[in-house]
Amino acid sequence: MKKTKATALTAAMLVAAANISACGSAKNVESENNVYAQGLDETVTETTTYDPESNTDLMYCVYGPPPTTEPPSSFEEYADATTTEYDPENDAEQFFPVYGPPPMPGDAYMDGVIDANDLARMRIDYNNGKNINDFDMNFYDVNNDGVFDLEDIAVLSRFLQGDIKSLSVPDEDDDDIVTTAPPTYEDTTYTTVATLYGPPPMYYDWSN
Amino acid sequence: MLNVDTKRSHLNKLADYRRGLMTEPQLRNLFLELTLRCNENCIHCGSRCGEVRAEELSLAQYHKFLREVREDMGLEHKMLCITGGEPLLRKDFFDIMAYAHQLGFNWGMTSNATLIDDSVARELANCGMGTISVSIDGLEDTHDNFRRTKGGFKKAISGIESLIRTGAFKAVQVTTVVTHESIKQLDELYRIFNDMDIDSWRVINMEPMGRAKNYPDLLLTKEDYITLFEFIRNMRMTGEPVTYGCSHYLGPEYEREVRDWYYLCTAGLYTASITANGDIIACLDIERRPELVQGNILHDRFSEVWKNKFKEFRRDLSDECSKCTDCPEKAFCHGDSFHSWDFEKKEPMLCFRDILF
Repeated sequence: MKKTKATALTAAMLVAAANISACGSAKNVESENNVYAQGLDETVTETTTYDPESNTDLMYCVYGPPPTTEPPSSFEEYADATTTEYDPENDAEQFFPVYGPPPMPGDAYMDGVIDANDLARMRIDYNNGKNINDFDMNFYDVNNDGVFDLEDIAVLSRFLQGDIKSLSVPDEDDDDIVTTAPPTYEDTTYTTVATLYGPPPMYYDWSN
Repeated sequence: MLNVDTKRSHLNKLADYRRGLMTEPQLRNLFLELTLRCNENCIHCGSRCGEVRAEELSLAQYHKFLREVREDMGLEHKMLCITGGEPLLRKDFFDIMAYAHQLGFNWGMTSNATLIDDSVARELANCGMGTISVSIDGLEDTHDNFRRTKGGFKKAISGIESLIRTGAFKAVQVTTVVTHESIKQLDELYRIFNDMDIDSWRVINMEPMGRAKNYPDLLLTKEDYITLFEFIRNMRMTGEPVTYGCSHYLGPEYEREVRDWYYLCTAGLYTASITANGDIIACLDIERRPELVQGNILHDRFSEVWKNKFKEFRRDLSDECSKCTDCPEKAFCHGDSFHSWDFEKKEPMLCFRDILF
């Protein structure tokens, strides 16, 4: 049978969870083996462009597993990805990637793409006073200051306009770099593919 | 094993998403039951195939239907899922599918593969087939007896090998329906499939429906279910492409661990089906009851039916079941799958409460 990057990722997830259960305390998990946490650079959002002409992006197993977002180019890269040490206060944050879309600050729609829709979503939710829970904070807290406020919206807006290259939080010693370079995110049409009997995109916000 | 609180958080979000789908369903899987004829006679057949009950749709009728679907609903995010009976028994199978391919539909199929050789596999590739799921229900004797087809196992394996040799398909999958008898054969089956270059192995339990109702001794026991899910999880822990199917809410322990997604019955939300005689229904696995037929493509426009009907499927079954009232998993289970719902007793025929959670 074909082992793939996706199956390797699943295996790592389950094995890591088993290790945590066996240890009885997640603090014993070595950070380099913590496959749950991943930085933005390692997240899988290798988008595909939906081509209406060829309609070639929608093949999936008749009854098979959903194609998840693509894992990094090698499992070893993923397993050794730099992670933060386990922090009980941020427990959920460590585990989110293996359950659904990787946490991507700015991706309010949780569709793997950061675009104007996310900015609109954040503005609506801010104006409506929506309660952003711990899970959603991974996507809404763009500047990683622990709160969702106008500053996050401003940072995302600047990113989408190309004024800043990355949404990652700079080191304290870094100078603010302002560029006029075009946005680095790929403006592609992202097709979420589901299997014959597979999952829906789970995080579509139907509240509005 | 995975963090239960996180799973619940995700399941809550999925429940919200499902509520949205009830008012704005999105067609993604369109099953076409090309025929009810079959060259096998499986004990567990949910469609009671072989008992041909009505005339099949003609080639021209399929052409018209496919054109209308493309015109009204587009192709994006949609997949045709060809099934039967044994679809390859239709003499005009390749005419139908070549037309679908020409229109731009993506498609896959289920088959017993007994009719597939290298030339058929090449023709399937030429017609644009993307994926296929082939049934292997046990070791050779078990498979042949279960499907009541002498030599069926060898032919199916040969068909799979032809498909793999073609090298043209996105995925070649094997599906195994496990019974109380065949549960002991999973390890040996794994050794067989491990030597083949299949893309995934879907392992599912025999459901108490269709002809399977006549064989209650073959249904899995509570211990069998635990064995089954532990087997699948252990396989996945070693990186093997083994998965459970889409059916049934499995509870906090096994959800997301034996398949790459959380449970969601998509009947009427993502999934619709056209039976061999043109009836529009939700899922072909659901018991064929007249009140569940939403229309017929011979006199109804499918897109209108999809938009305006299917009310029976855009609701929570758990609201009708007294057993579900005090269940802590009700919000995620919704009364479980439509295909295993007992429409007379108004309760699930298979509920994993007290089995898995």
